Amino acid sequence: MQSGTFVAERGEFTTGGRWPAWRAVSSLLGQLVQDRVALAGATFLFIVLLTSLFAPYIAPHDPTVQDITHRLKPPFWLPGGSREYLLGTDQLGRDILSRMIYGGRVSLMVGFFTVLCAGGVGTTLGLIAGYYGGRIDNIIMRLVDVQTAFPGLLMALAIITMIGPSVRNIIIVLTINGWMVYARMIRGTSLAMRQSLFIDAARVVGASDRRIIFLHLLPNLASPLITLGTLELARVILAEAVLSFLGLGIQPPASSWGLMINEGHTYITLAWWLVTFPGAAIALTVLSVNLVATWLRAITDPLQRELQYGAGRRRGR
Amino acid sequence: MQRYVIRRLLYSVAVVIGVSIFVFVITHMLGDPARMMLPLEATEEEYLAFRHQMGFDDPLHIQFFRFVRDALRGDFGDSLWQREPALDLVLERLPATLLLVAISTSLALIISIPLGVLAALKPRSLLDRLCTIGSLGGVSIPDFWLGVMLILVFAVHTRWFYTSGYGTWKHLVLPAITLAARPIGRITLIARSSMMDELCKPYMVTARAKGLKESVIIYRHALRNALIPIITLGGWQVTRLLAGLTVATETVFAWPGVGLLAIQAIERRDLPLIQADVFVVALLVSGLNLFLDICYAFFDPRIRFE
Repeated sequence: MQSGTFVAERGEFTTGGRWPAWRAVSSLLGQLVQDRVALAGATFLFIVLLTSLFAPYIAPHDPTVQDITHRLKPPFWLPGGSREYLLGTDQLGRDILSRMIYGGRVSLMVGFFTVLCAGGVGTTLGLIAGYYGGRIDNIIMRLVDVQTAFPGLLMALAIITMIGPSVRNIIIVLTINGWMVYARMIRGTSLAMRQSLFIDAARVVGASDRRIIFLHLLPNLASPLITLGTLELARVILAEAVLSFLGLGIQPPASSWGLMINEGHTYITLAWWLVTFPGAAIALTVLSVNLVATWLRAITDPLQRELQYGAGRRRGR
Repeated sequence: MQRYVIRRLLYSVAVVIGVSIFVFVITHMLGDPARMMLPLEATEEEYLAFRHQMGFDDPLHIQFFRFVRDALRGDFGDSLWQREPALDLVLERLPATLLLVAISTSLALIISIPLGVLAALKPRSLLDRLCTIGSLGGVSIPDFWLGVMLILVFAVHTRWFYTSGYGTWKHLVLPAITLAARPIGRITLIARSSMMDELCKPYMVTARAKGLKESVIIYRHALRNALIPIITLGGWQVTRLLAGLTVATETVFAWPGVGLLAIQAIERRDLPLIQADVFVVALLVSGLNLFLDICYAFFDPRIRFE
């Protein structure tokens, strides 16, 4: 039997404690340990995050230093490889492992900031549309509809061609491309929530619209928003990789996983390791993000939780 | 139904207008189109002359009306690279992309629907777990990397298929698999969850109580209802593929479709061709969306009254 108070809207028990934030985190970690697949994903992401943060201390070589005498060296376990270059070197003699560590930095940074910007824009517009309704809702949602029907990647490519590729511009373009998802989701949820008692209560005590939107509505939308943001992170990391692969993303000599595949794929018959490792890094990172997102959705949404963990029981055949 | 179709048509017109405004803003206002198209060594006189010749020194609203008028007539100007009308070049490349999208979508539907249904029939079994993780993998793999790896294994090492190009079925296999990976993942996931939803519904109990055969219950009753979200997602995937997801795959396999053309146009800074490409793709996507929506409304009357 659990002791503590039952929090109705979250549908879970909370044990007493002084710091609610820490309590939430530790309860989340406790649930994460129970789902081994999600735990594996989270662990991998954590490792990528650490290596990206401390890239200058971890990377064995400078990712941009070229050394023609050591070019196209295979990974250390193959004949001709050496322990100095664990995953081999590329066509210019740069260390693959170091370039991957620095490339992860770019992927995570672009992903994180794009989700933040697109989420910010989309959430704000979604809240405005859902809370005020009427004509402003109509305008915003038509904009969402029209833009969703656009050929997104082609537009992104065209914009990048005109404004030039750089990390900042990639984030801008992917934000333009991705804000609609948040707006639609937030608008739908806040439209339903606008009728609830606690919003009426806030209005009765004289809270301003802005206060109601950001202090009453928004906190209640946090958990679907976090899940959506995680899912979008996976999409954005892939999008950055595609842009860089097409030569319109991160520019050399900087490094990015997509760019490494772009530079390496002409040497595929000579050196398979140039494209294999960076591609695997993208795939594993995105897979991990997706696993964590699936798990997050399962634990925050009771309906999904039932689908994921309880379907066998319920059918009871 | 008629009212719905008219409303939906108007909406498509709005999308096309939106796209043309967007294309205009991108190409005329985000940068200097004349500087972009001219080579770096062009002199100031050449620049001014070119700017005047292309009409880039006129007020923006005049340029916009000219752009819309020409676009409505299908005239995007001549491609700087090929010296031919840009629209013709795009239309020439269109069949290759359509073929690729059609084949890979069919492949995705054929593989993922049975997988998703089997996984839903035995939840939490080994097959179910493999399916779920496999589909998440399919969604997570960057398609261009998958393409390069397939070339490495099946074209360079075993020499079963060709590395790139267009023409025979040997050219088609690898790009089709590459492009199908993501839809396979998506559709398997949705097939599994929508099948599970149906299997839990009360009418399943009724069907069992009537003593129907298990195969009839599953395939005639549950699967038919579960197909609605699956087909919806399938249609959406086709529009996404057309809307740009083919670009990377076509580049990897040198597949002569509109996606590769877009990249070639961008590399050569060929503005008329970029405009024509984006515009044609946008028209195609919104036309397809229109068709799909009308189909849904036809089959599911609830949509008409929303």
